[in-house]
Amino acid sequence: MKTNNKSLFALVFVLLLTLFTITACGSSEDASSSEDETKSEEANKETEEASEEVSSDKPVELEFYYPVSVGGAIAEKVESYVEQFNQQNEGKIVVNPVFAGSYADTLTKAKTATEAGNSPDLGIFLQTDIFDLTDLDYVEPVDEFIAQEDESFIDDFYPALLDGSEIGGKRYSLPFQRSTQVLYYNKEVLKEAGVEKAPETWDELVEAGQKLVKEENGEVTRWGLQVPMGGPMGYWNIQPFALQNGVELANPEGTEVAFNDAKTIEAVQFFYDLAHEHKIMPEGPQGWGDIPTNFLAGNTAMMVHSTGSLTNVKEKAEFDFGVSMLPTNGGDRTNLGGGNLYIFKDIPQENKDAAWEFIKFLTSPEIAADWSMASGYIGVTKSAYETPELKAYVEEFPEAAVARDQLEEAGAELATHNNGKVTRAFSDEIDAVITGSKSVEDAMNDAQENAERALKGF
Amino acid sequence: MNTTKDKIIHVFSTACIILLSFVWIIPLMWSISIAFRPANDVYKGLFDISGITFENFVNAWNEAPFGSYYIATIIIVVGILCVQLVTSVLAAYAFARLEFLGKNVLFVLFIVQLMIPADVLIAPNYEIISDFGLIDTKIAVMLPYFASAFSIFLLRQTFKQVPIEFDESAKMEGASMWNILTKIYIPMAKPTLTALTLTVGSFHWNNYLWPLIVTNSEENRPLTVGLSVFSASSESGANWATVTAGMLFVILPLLIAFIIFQRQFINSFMHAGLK
Repeated sequence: MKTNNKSLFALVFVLLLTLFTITACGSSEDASSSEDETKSEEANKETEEASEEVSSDKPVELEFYYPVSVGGAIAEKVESYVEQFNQQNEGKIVVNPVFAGSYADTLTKAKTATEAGNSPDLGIFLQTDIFDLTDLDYVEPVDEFIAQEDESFIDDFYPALLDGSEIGGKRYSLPFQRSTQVLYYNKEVLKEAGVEKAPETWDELVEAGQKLVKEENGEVTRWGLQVPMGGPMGYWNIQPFALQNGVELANPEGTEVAFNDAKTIEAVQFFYDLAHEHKIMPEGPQGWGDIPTNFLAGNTAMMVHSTGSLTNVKEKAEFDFGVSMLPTNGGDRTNLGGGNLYIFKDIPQENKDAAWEFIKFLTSPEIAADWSMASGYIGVTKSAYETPELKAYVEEFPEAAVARDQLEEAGAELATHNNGKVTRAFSDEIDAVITGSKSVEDAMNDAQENAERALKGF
Repeated sequence: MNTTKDKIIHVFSTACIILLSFVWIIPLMWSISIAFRPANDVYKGLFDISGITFENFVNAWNEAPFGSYYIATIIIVVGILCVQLVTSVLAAYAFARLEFLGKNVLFVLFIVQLMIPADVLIAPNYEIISDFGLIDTKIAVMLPYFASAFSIFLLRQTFKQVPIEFDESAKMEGASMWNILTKIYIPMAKPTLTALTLTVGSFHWNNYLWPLIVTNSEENRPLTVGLSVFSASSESGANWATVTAGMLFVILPLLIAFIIFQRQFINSFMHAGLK
């Protein structure tokens, strides 16, 4: 008898567990199948929330997702801006900063939350995430907000930084943490090797590199140049070479790529030759994080790296170093990188208004200037460089303005629909080239084929 | 003849073990060595250090609120372990020894869960947690792991090996099911339970993506999220000194636990593996 009772209990327990699992699975299916229903529900919720917030004088609360991609105390810097903003808008707006990992993690978190009807109010995502975010219909165009401001507001931004944030005539984001790639060089080593100035063209690059390579007993002890290459970011590192050779890797609509264009192939071949033909650069993949360490240790005389490394290099270099624009073969010199500010769609109007206030604050000259000095990112507006702080900083440390000056000769970062798959297709083939498993032409044809498959339907 | 052959095998396998353990220990030694040296010595050789400093640890500690991350991590890991072990023991016992309608079908359903990768479940789990209104709580981090198909399966296999005669004679003596479970099954499954505690514990100690997505505020986030503040430095070069110091903060408790419980840890795997 007793045992029977117990087994009955166990049965009920197991049944409950199963029921729980089944309902759990069911609810997720429901959510995707009856999207319209949940959407109208959310709309109701929105209006409810909105009316509630209007009637009571509660401050608007904003959830702000941000990634960190320059290491260390930078996260604290972002939080200090938020604090400053909250103080200025006490009683009206409260921004809650939510650190969300890397750029990729931030996008995953935003996607998960938005699908569950928990969308953040605003966030920092890659400028190139624009296709992902608009294809999913997550983000709100900012044109109406810009129209409310003086015309000088939008004109103050550097035009190159605004590139690529428009689709179908609508602008979806404003720049916040943006970088370009620049050439860092060890002034002392250049002088010692008889190289008078930093190379400005491809020919000068090869010539200077050959003078700078140092060999001892048949082993290279110092390279002329190091360029990060390989892995999922390979597309970003190879793109400047394509731009320098005068080719855009994607059209502005993000529907076509030019991976097997003769000029792209030529550019990739030039990169390959730097290591294999001219021998000024080590062969094989080069780690992004290791190269500044090599540069600081004097293991390479020049390196191509993000302006995001500038503050780090400046603090650690025990030698005199210079920064210059990337050498070119006639085209633009570099691509851009980094993150923009986006406002989400699925939130009450007053949250959108408040989010706009916060964006204006983050792109204001004082914050843009401070952020640029703290991180090495480009100050996003012209007036940022007019602030006394940044002016003095640039005067004392002219390298800090190279990235900005290079904006005149910069192209937009490779971005297409289905961006993850397309850049992956390209990066994988770059890997195949640098590891020597495919010829440049074969690899680029394969990249083109795979990218076109990923772009079908757009 | 035989003995010399044995000896050769013995020497050879020992050499292999030493070599392997050396390969395994190198990353840890590098990390420790880098964490204790001045930031500018990072690129020098393993033992080529100009001095020992604790500066990196101070920097790392100041750059993220490790104190609150530690508390959150401990609450989350202990919470998951407590609930998961209880649910797994009960379910495993039911599957191993009780007879009820649809037992085999249910068991297969549980086993099927083993084949679903955890990352796929992030979105549906998030929706459930969101419906419960639990976003940004520690409970949200723990809830999906309160039951585990893997633990149930492992424990069921162990319980199955307990001779059924023990069960029957205990019943003859009039022991209740609860008594049988606590006096016979749990003690006999101790090695498996230890193994489970350690693997489940270290898995959740290291879990990153789920806590990152489901929580927003500092006090609900574990150490791994804190670590990513330094390691996510895709645009600047990595500051290895601080990264390694922060990493040591994260792994230190696990490392200490491993050293203390080394014998149980290895025994439990030997035990679970050999059967």
